[in-house]
Amino acid sequence: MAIASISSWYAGNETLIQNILIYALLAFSVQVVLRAGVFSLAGIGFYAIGSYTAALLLKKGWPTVPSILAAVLLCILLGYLLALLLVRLRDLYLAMATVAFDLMVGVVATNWTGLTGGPLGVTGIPLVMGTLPIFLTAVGAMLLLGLLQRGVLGRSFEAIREDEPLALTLAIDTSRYRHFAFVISCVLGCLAGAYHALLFGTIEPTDAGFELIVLALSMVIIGGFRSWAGALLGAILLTWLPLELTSVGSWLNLVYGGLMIVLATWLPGGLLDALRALLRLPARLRLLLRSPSSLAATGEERG
Amino acid sequence: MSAAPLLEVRDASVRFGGVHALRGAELSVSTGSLCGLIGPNGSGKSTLVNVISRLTKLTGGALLMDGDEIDSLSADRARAAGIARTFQTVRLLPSMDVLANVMLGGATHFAQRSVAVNWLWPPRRANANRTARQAALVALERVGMAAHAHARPQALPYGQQRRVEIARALASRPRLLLLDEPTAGMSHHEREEVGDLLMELRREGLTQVLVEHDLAMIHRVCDHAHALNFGRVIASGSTQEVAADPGVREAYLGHGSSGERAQDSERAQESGPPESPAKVSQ
Repeated sequence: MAIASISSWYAGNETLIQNILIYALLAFSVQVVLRAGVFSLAGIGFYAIGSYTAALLLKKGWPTVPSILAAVLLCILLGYLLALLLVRLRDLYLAMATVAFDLMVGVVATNWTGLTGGPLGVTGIPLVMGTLPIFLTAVGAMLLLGLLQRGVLGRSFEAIREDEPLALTLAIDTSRYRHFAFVISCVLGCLAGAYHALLFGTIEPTDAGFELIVLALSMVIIGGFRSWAGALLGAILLTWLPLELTSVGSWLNLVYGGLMIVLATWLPGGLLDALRALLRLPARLRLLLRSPSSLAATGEERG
Repeated sequence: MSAAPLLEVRDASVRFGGVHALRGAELSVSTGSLCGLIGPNGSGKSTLVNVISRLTKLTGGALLMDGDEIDSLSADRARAAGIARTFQTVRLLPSMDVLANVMLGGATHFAQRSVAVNWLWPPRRANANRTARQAALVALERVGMAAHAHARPQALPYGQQRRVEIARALASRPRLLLLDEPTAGMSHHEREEVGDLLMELRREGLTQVLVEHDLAMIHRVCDHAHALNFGRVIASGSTQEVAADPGVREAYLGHGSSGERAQDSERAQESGPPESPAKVSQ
């Protein structure tokens, strides 16, 4: 009975789940760099590169796994080279440069008609992708990203984000770490794009445009950039919310905008921080009842 | 003093655009000594510390450690080679507790290795976390902060935050410790305690460079001192000699000391009167 109801719920929501998983990978690609203090949005450009590479190879008759692997390898190579080019840029300048890169990828996709099919994009891509491989990839990414933010290694990235000169004096080769986060971001974006193309069967050059950049960034800001869990939360929320809010129509952007302003003002750590604070509340209340001064002593209070 | 120099700065110059922060500074720190650096604000003390810790590149001159040139070393390599430092302002990361902050200082070997392997090879991760933790606990014990290992740094009094910073620098067992005004803003009692700590570390054989405004402190803890002004070393020798040097007295009494004192009193809100120039004559 329960199994039947779960499976019927799943059947009704499979597309939603697939979209959430793909957007989660894309959101991870933005989160992993933001957490390291690298304001890169290049993941969205690599979403396009990944989707075209995997789709075109597949249409050429390549098997599924090698097509995706080839796309990933290409993205590692291009990501590494792009990082070399952008190594001196920081913050807003890096964000601008990577957005420019994303838009350039779109321009190439639109105009290199011989390869990409031009403005019409690629259609008739074999639908070789199922939900399970995407799910497993997303779970794998979460595990690996979890490792990347834990322990001394994870805190090194935090140190780089919060105080780069300090990180240098702690023997952290900050440019190598930043470079590394950048390439990981490119791979995650690439996977999201490749899976999307192989799951839905079409690519348009406008798929990975400015809207996708804003969407991916919004997911991470709203969910919380300090952890992959925040990015996942943002991906779930911003994929599911538009379906629930179809009645508000074009006012949806206003809802997003309002949410962003509220979060940026009062919750810079995103919804994840709010959730964590909520979960900590009972324990803190208990502590407070036992000894009111202990809060400051254990430093639970975040200044 | 007779021991071979651990660190030598030769004819060091640093230019930022048209500003000469250092012009031919010379410095020699012998192994196991505690060397004081004094001078008015803007005299180049912090620039010199930045140069030695490799955050600032030399425009001219040379930097030697154990007789080997290290002026091409990056800051992270310099730390790995044993040059640790603290900063003029507290730079603990508020997003993690005291222990985690200090662990970052105890993982310098790990930090220098391949990020991918550090990420994906579990034994190395586990080993690094364990050794960093041990090193951090030892360092916290050393500065008397072990009881606060799980506090958030911003919940601690200022003097204790500075101790945590010293612990973070000590956690990698450095060969040279650079302290950029470690007692700024501390109460008299806290200053004494930090002074005692530095002298203990010296007895254990740690070579230190101490940037300090308080000449009484320099006099109490340092073996020898260098006085800087306008990016040059204007006097060096024993702490008495440097304090008595007419050039040093001129630098402290003669110019700009009001601005410097204003800043000092800001830092030293709870620590009684700001540095008085009269201390020069002590």
